[in-house]
Amino acid sequence: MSENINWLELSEVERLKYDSNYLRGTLPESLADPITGAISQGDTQISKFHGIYQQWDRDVDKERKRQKLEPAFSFLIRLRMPGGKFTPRQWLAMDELSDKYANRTLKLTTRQTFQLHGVLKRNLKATIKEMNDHLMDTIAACGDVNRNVMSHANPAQSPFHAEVIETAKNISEHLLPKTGAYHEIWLDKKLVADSKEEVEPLYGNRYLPRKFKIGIVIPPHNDCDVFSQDLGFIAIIENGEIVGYNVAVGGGLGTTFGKPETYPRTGTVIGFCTPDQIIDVAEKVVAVQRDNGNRKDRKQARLKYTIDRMGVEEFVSELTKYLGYELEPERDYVLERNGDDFGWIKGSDKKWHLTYFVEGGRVLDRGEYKLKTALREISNVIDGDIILTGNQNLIISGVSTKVKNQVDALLKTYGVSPEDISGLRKNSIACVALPTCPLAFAEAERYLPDLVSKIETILNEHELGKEEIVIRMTGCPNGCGRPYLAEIGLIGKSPGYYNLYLGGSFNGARLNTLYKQTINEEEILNELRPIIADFAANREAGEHFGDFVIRKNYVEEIKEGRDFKH
Amino acid sequence: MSLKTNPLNDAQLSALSQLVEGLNKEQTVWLNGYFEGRLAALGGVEVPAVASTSASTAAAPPAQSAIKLTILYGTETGHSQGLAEKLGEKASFKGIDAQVLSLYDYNYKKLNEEDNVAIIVSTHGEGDPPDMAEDFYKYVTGPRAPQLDGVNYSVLALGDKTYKHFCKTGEEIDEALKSRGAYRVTQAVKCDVDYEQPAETWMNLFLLNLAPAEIPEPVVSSETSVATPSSAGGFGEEFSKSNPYMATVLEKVRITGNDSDKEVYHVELSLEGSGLEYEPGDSLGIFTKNPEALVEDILAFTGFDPEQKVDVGEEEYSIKEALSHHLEITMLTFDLLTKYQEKTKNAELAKLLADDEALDAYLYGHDVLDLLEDYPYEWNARKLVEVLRPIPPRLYSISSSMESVGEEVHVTVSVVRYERKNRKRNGACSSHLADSIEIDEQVPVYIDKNPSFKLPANGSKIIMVGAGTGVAPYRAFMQHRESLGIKGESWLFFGDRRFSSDFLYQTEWQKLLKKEILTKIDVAFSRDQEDKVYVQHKLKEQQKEVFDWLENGAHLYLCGDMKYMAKDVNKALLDIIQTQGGISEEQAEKYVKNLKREKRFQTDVY
Repeated sequence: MSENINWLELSEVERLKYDSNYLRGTLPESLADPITGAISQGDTQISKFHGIYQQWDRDVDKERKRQKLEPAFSFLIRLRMPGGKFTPRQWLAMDELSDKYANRTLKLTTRQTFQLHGVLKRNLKATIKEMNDHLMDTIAACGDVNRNVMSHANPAQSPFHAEVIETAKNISEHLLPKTGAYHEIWLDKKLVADSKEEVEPLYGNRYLPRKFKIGIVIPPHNDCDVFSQDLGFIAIIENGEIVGYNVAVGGGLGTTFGKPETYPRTGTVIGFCTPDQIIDVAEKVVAVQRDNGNRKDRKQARLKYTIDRMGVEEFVSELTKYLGYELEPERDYVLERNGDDFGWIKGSDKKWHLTYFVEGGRVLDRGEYKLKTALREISNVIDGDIILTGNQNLIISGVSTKVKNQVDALLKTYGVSPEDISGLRKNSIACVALPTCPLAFAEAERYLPDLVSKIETILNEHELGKEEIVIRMTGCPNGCGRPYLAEIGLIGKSPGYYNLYLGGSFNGARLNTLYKQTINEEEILNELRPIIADFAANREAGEHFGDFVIRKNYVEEIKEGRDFKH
Repeated sequence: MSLKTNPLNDAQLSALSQLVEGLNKEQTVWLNGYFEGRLAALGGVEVPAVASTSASTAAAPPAQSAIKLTILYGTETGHSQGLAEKLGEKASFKGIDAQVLSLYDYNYKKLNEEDNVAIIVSTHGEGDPPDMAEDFYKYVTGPRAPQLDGVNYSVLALGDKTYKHFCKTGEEIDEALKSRGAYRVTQAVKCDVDYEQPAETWMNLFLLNLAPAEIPEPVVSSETSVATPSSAGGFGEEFSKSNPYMATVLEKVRITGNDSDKEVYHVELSLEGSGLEYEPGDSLGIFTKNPEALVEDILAFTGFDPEQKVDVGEEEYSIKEALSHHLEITMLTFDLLTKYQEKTKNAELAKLLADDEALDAYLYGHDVLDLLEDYPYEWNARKLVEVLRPIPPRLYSISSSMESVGEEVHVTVSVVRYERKNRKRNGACSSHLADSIEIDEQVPVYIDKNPSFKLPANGSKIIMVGAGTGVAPYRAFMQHRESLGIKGESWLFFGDRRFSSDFLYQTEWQKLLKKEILTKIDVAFSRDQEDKVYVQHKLKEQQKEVFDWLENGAHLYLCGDMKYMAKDVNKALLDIIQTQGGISEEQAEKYVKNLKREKRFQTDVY
């Protein structure tokens, strides 16, 4: 890479990455500074590569300013756990860490991993060390690198689960940054030679232009929204084995209000690769993006924009050059849904697997509802694993019949038996938003449960309580909760106000379309009421809500991401 | 006045014109008298023959042999020093050749050569003399004290009746001098925290006995403390402790975070038009009222008719009003317990008074209602009022500099609240400010000068050690240096409970660091980790550099809790000096004493 870089025309983050000495920045100094709970401005970018985001409690922002106190800074720590599979011991470790250093809750993310919230600067190192003691790390959980690799979650649904999760792990390992910064800073490993020699053969000293996401699905399940990934793999099963994967590129959801040149995009399937090619394909797609992605404007830097700028054909031909071979033509597949199938299922392994709905992905104890305690007790007795799904839910996986009964009893004891949850709630996702996410314009996790209750009332009037409808809410348009792929999408604009999007497909293959802009709760309910009534009266057999609103022209189908309006 | 015809240098001249400007008639008359006195005291110095009409002021009678007076003070808080200086002025005005010295600077071996000595000294903690008086005290009360025949003296003892050993140092010095044959010109006077009036009386009496009125009294009293309280606020009115200024609250904000178990308020008050002035290091006296609940509880317990009239000093109030506004009921003092016992003849209480440890425990955290409950007696309202002491104003270290905030004064108030015997207890002043006083309301205040907690005049290095609200004066120090552009290195050691909620004035320190007004800061938060970490631990961590600073002339300040923090910091300091200086414990003690003598170690602890 040429060292004659014109920094002026590049985004500032490019310079920060370059100057960070392979992701060290001034983190040790920032951590040692006793007079602020924050880290330096530059380090807030670098820390992301270590899975750490600086946040602050926005609920008390104004009052602390008057109190002559700095904002209540704390940190989000996100784990890297490809495929989201945790041993009970690891679950217990996270449970304990959340009490010891975080806000006593665990957040299950939309990328099959844990987030701890509210970790103070002085506890960051101890937290990461203790995670490391339990074979967990946070390397590259955020930042301009390949992030946590997702995979199909449910062993009960497919005998190939073990194989894809292994593949997810291998891809993740292969694409990890190679710098020793993480081990030096957090685990007190010895400083390795401080030089700009090629320590990052894949990423180079400026890493990727922007974040990069990979997910693997096993049809007909699309539980990790394969078309939202920069790089998606769709397992193709023929004659009882995985013969390879269709390759989808250029998915990505984040947008920015007021910037029409930003848009969500579903991935484009460009061909098929064999299992022994998959890591190479992943590496080369990353490399093409590394060399062609936009480093001037971070809002045009994701792979989706690179591909639309180059054109799919041009992109594929470039990829072929990097690979040295052509991908085979894509094979047939059918995806049915992007949500989870809840309840106990006996897998082909003869063991029991419980897919369990966790509202907002938040594991906590609140009054009679003691989910956190229940899962702690369950972790103490199960003979299987706990797997996080891409929809903020979890699977208590691989248990014997005896343990299954124990699990049921414990869920009951702690007031968290999976009761009759509506089809809408089961398919709900909310990002964290206020009060800790600095990007949020409006509530999401704290508010969506209430809104769902109110929509349920309307659905019940039409006997649609059981109807499965995907609803997702985020506090900003960055897309963590994948709202653009929901049948009902709500994106925060300002406190109490949301854009309402309709018409995503139930299987996650189609983007939704803006229906109403900047409306409040009353307006949201008033807009949905007649459509739901119409749906109840006039739907075709088996027709999903998202398909119905398009057929009835409530909204026009979005075929290309760039046609999307905010 | 032409420059050619005056003997003053430029600085004096400019100071003079600054002084003269804006003086009213009364003040000018008083100054006229003052200078006559000064002149007399100078022993009839010849006035240079200059063509000046003001030469007529030299007509004061030449003093044949001026009376000599040595005024000695021993102080921790500066009150004794203030009084000594005042006595010096009064004496000079009377033509007495007065010299004011701290007990540090005084060569006590010459005590037997003195004609007249006035000693103003305070008592601290367990009846201890102030540091600066320690050597003198040991000398005169010890076996090596000389015969003092022919020495005239009197003692003014300062103290606080909250403590058992009220005014002990003064008492003992008084006794010692007497026993060595010195002549007690006037009885020693012991003052409680409201010392102004008795001190004034003592001074006047003492001077009268030394020099019977040779020089006419000035037309107008110089003493602000004898001014009658007035709400008129006319031009030239002087506000003081006995005539407090009604200051309007401009801002009141709790500055501990909502997850703190401490309630600390930053309060800004207007001094606009009051003429009150203060310097960093001074304190603000605030008059307060007692918590209503406690007053009600006492009335209910005793069954007093709330409207019954009682006398407090010269004034008559209803018992309810007296308990609310005029008498101390939230705290117990040794003095009160003694009087209470004398009246009640309670045997249990007598036992308590005889047991130092139990007594200390009882004095801490109990109030008048506890006393009434624990040692029952058939009180009537008038009798009870006689044993209670007047409620003194509360002092708060000022946390602002006038150079920065103009005619405002800021204080940092930690609210005292605790629960005992199922009853919630509230500090009289702090809870009053926290619960009852809102922005735009007024509170009576005065300035309490503290000459022994002052920034060095130049930009010498300063090390500031403070825990909790002990950080208040350092905010004033920093504002002062910033506003005046005084360059000088500074280092703050701050301690409190929790970083996230108790880092008082955090954003201000951050800005001061950025602007390099504050050079360094070390913080200790005791409850953020398993081991309790306090400021003294931080001092020790940094001991090499702390010692370097001291060796390079740094001034060291200590402000905050006396019982624990000050003790621990003093100990840490001795350790540091011993270790870093490679000297014995005794030498380290001398080193510290010397710092104090040079006014390079100043404390404001409470």
